[in-house]
Amino acid sequence: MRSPRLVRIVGVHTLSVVALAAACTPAEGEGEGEGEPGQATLSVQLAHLVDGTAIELDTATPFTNAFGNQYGVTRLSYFLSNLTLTMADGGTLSAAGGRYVHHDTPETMTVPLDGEVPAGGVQSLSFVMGLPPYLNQSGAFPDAPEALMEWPEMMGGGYHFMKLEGKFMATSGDPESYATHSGGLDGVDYSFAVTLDGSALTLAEGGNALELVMNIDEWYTNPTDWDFNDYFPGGIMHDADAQAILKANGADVFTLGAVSPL
Amino acid sequence: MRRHHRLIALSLAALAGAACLGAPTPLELELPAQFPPMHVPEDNPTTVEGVALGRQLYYDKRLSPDASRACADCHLQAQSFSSTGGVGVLPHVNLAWSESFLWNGATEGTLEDAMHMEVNEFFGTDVALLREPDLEELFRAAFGDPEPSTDRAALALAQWQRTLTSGNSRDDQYVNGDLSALSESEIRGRDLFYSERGECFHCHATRLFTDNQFHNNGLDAEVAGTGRAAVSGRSLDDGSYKTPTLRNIAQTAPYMHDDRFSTLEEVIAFYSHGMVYSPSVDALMQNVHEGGPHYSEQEQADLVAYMGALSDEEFLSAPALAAPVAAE
Repeated sequence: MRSPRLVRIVGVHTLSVVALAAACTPAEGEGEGEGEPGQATLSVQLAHLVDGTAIELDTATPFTNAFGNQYGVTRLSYFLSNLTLTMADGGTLSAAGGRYVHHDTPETMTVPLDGEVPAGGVQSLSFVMGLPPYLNQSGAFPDAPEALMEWPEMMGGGYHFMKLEGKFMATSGDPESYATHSGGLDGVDYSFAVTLDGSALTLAEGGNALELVMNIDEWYTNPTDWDFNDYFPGGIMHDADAQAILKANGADVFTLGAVSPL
Repeated sequence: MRRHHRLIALSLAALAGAACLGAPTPLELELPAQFPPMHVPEDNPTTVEGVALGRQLYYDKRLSPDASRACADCHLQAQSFSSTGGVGVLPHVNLAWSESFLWNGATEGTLEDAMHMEVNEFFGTDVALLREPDLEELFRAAFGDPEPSTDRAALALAQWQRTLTSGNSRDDQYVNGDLSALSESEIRGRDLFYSERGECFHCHATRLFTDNQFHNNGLDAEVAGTGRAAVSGRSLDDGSYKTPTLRNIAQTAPYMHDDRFSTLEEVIAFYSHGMVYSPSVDALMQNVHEGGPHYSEQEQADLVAYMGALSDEEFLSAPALAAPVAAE
């Protein structure tokens, strides 16, 4: 039975980042190899929600953050790294490296699964939000669209971890722009590891889609309520305090949704 | 040997060889340092003979049905294959990395798709005009068959366009280690360019100095249905136009999709304090209700100076990219 949150997100426009089967490690005593009975493919599909509502990129400001700012989203792109599903039996399925996600580019949302994972209970899904330092190297992604996430050398180089942009209603009463851009700054790493409990989930035989939800509103609260006016005009790329707040607030941004058949 | 000089040498050698052997000669293009990889369609590999045909057609008025105009009439090498004539003539430079063409991206796909549009729709080429001995010989060398066609013309033009690669400006020399390549003012302009206060680098991204995407940069208050929105139908795209490359930007005046600015000084002043709000104005355009970030006079001068450092003098005058002798 789906939780209320899961029911809300059924049918929403989802991003799909598919965990590529770089390393499927069966538990001791289990067989290996393609096509064995009881094995399934897996994709991790991302949904982008604000207070349980799927976002649509738009210039309107339909949402309200914890501080009380009205805001909307016009652009969302980011990196997730090293997605790893751990099964209850200890087996793992990993997508090594950085994966680029763009809300408005369907081909970045669905990455075909390249491997199989044993059916059965799930233990957890873990990943890094952004790029860990060994991946966050200038030139690592020479091609667009990933290359367009570049972070200026004079701020330390590498790549944006996230570009979350839109409009908010400023204290002036005018709609103004915000650009929540996160990344490593001057050699300080602001990526962070996330591990989500998946013990309530079970993979079935055949294909599976595991939903991973980015709750956008959580970027702007817990522990720090974010006032867009504090970062306007200008940006936050150069602001170490802002980057640290996003890293701390980001701890509970992601939640696991349901497993559904492909 | 400089990149474009090498192209000439290869062209001459291969043309001589092709005349004897009849087989197109693969041409491996040398890319500037730190450029993205170039993706060439397998069904239209770049060859010396294909490039030679594309170059000829680019400069040849027979591409138009009344033999009145050529691509090069509006796309002048000295102006980075752009023009002061016409309205909003985008430069033909580094288009190999683009997947959408024209200011609103109405033509999408590969360079081959874009050149098909140019040949079939923009020019409406009459193949009969291409059935001349000089061109038939070039078609034969490029495709093993002297019969011209608009498809082959488009393929050859796409191959030629892939040679219009510019990446040897003083800024490139600076990035590649020659710290004396930029003046103090240009370095200050560069620092501002790559800062959030300058806010240039997000759109004029990578070493291509364009993200090849669409942005409403605050030119007009009334933008409904204009720009990219005319193609996409999305209000989010109202007033959005493709980011032009800044490569050789000092040579490509006038500026913006409608040529409204005559000088770089006017462009920088606009981004400093001349932007106007519309609902779809890009989030990267900060403080639009106040016109912009209000650069100081020195900052504006530094940004203009840095734009001048993006000129690639070799590209602008390379003989290999000029009109072929036979067409002159």
